[in-house]
Amino acid sequence: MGSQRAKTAFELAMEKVAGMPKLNSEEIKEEHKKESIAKGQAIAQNYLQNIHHKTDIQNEIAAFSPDQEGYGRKSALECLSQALSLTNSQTSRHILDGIAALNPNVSTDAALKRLNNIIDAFQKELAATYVSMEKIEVKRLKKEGISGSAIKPNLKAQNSWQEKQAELTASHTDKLNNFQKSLLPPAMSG
Amino acid sequence: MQLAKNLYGYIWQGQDNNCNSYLISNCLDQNRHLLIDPGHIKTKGTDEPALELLLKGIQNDGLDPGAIGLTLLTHCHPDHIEAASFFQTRINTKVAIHRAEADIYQQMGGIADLLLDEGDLKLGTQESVLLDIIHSPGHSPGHITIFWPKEKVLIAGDLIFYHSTGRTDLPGGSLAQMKQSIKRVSSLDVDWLLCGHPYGHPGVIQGRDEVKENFQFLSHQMMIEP
Repeated sequence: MGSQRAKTAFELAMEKVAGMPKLNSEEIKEEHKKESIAKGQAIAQNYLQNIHHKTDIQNEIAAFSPDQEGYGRKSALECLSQALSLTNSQTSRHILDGIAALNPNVSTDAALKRLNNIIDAFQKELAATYVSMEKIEVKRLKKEGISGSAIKPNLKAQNSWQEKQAELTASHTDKLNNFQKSLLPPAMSG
Repeated sequence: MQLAKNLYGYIWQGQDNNCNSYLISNCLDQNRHLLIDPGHIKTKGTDEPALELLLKGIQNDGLDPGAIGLTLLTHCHPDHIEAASFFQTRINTKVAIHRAEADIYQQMGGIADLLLDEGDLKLGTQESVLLDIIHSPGHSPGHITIFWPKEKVLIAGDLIFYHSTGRTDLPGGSLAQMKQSIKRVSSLDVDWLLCGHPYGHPGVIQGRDEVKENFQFLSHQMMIEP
């Protein structure tokens, strides 16, 4: 009776792998694309967290293979442009510097001016709406017999203000989204 | 119990810690009332029914607790604020606290309808009751005292007690600010000094001379320069 050696776990795993279908060229291309997109996002995140400077991100994108460079650049640009916000203008210049480093069609100063216009319009409308809602509330309180310099409605805690704020944010976010798209090269912005 | 015309005091008589509450009646539209510091719902140590006792006290004075239209909180400590949510949710009473303590009040589960700053508070559609809201930090950063000049009433919260003051070793407390706050209010013309706790004394100090003596005692004890 011949002795039959039991297969090791490694041998079993190798058999399984050998039996799996190989990736075709399209699938390989897709895997590379995914990898490039993830790398592009990581490059943008490092820049946003001030780990890398704009020259670093230019060099890192330039180091992609020619067929992958477009994906990496696009995902980095998308990630950077998504970091722009209506409420935090302090980081705008840094973000736009990074975008300009990856998209030569963007000028930081010109883009910053456009972004600030969008943010200013949002903040002004928000402030004006707050003042007008506060006036209405103050009048209502006076009718109830509560008035004076010591007292103000706590509008920020009220649902009516929170709903209005969400509504205004949504309407200005559309403008921000259009601006963000304009920061991508034409072929990428679709 | 009624202290003066339209002024009521609910002096805490339980064993556990809770605050005194005060009420100015018929000062808002539709003869609704102002309540100051509603205190605990139940005391923390022995579950004494503090809110129930307050509601009974108000009713015993012939007043309707359902007609409380505004609650002022002198500061955001649980023994002063806890029952505010009851009045707010059950009776639709508006709750006001100093701006500096609105965030902490929210963190403790409350939502202030109104924010207070130093200034005047006019109550009634004919503005029949005029109160001065005085920012008096020391016990807490947004502590207020409420002065009713016409009736010479000072509702002192935990700034001043009978021969004693509020603690300054709690978060946000400051002895230096406490001294300044006491010095400020000691210059007011006060006949009724209504304290936030009945520590060794009911906490209702009546009479100009008695109030003055209390301020002098505290000034001496705390080495507050005149």
